[in-house]
Amino acid sequence: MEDIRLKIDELRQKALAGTMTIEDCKEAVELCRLHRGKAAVRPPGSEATKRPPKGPSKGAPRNHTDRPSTENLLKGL
Amino acid sequence: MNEIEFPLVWDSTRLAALRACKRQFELGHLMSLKVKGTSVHLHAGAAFAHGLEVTRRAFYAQGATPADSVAQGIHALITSYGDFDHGTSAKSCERMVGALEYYFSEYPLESDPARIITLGGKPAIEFSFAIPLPITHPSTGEPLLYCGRFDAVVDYAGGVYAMDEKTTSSLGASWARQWDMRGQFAGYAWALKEHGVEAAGTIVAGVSILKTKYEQQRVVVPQPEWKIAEWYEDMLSDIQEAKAIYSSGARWKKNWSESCNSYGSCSYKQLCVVRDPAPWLETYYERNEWNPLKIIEAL
Repeated sequence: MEDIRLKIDELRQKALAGTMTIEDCKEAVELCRLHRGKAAVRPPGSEATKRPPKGPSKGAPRNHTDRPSTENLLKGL
Repeated sequence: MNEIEFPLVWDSTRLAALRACKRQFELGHLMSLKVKGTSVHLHAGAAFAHGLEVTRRAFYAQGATPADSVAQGIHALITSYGDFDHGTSAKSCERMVGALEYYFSEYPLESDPARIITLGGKPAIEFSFAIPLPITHPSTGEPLLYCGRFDAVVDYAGGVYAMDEKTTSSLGASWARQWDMRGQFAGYAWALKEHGVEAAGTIVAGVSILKTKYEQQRVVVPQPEWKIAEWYEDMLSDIQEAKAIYSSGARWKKNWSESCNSYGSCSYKQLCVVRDPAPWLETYYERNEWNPLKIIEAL
């Protein structure tokens, strides 16, 4: 990632100076693509492994979408 | 009579503030106060949106190749981001550049199933609207306007949709569930209908930007006729209520509830917890008028 950061920092300076070109940006796109390709083939056990979505934690404020609907509440009466 | 002007131009942001808390609406939209400084999320999001727009215009309007189009978009993004200091946020310039490249690798311009349609002979990119309402301004008598802008009008799976990209820190089931009652999107469908386009709904395209990875998610939010009609009726009712409060000179009431703590904390909360907010105003706030029409005119 350091190489991308350095490249973009370089382009930001060029942009401020008005000298950034489309070719410069094509190189940046290629760097990003290469980096994503490397990230995709990281060995098992790395953070590239997808984690299941988190459920609501105990004691945490409830999201309004977790609340039962008024209709369902009334059905229970 | 109030010295502060009632807004002529309304949008989803203004309406949301009014509904969240009358006092928040007064401070943010009548007095035009905002916390000093620029949010990294807003700045980075705006740069991303500009990159997205330029990419699409290059491809759909100028006939550039997908690779050239994305490069033009990156150029625009970097230029927009400028020398802004992102601090410790994941939304640095290089991460936003990576996000734009990632998004168009997930949805290549030449094969994205959501195809941008043509309206008025032009690709429907950055669709803007400013529609008069049947409510007059309390001072000038002019009709109020409801405005907005969204990223594109697309044809998807046999229907027409308003599409809006949103950058975020994280995606998941709760992210997807928050949009089905979002007035902003019912408003988009209404606006398209007012322009003679029957929209089936909205596609919300989320792009998550973390320090070491990207994710994306698209959610289709249907906007049937009855929902648009209810949204419109409620919008008029809420604006009429605001007009009545303004005209009467009554105090704009505080929410005293969840709005005070949403997104961490309301940005005006420190003004509400003190008897005299004046000393806090000068230190922490500045005048910055929210004018939806200026955003549209800037295009």
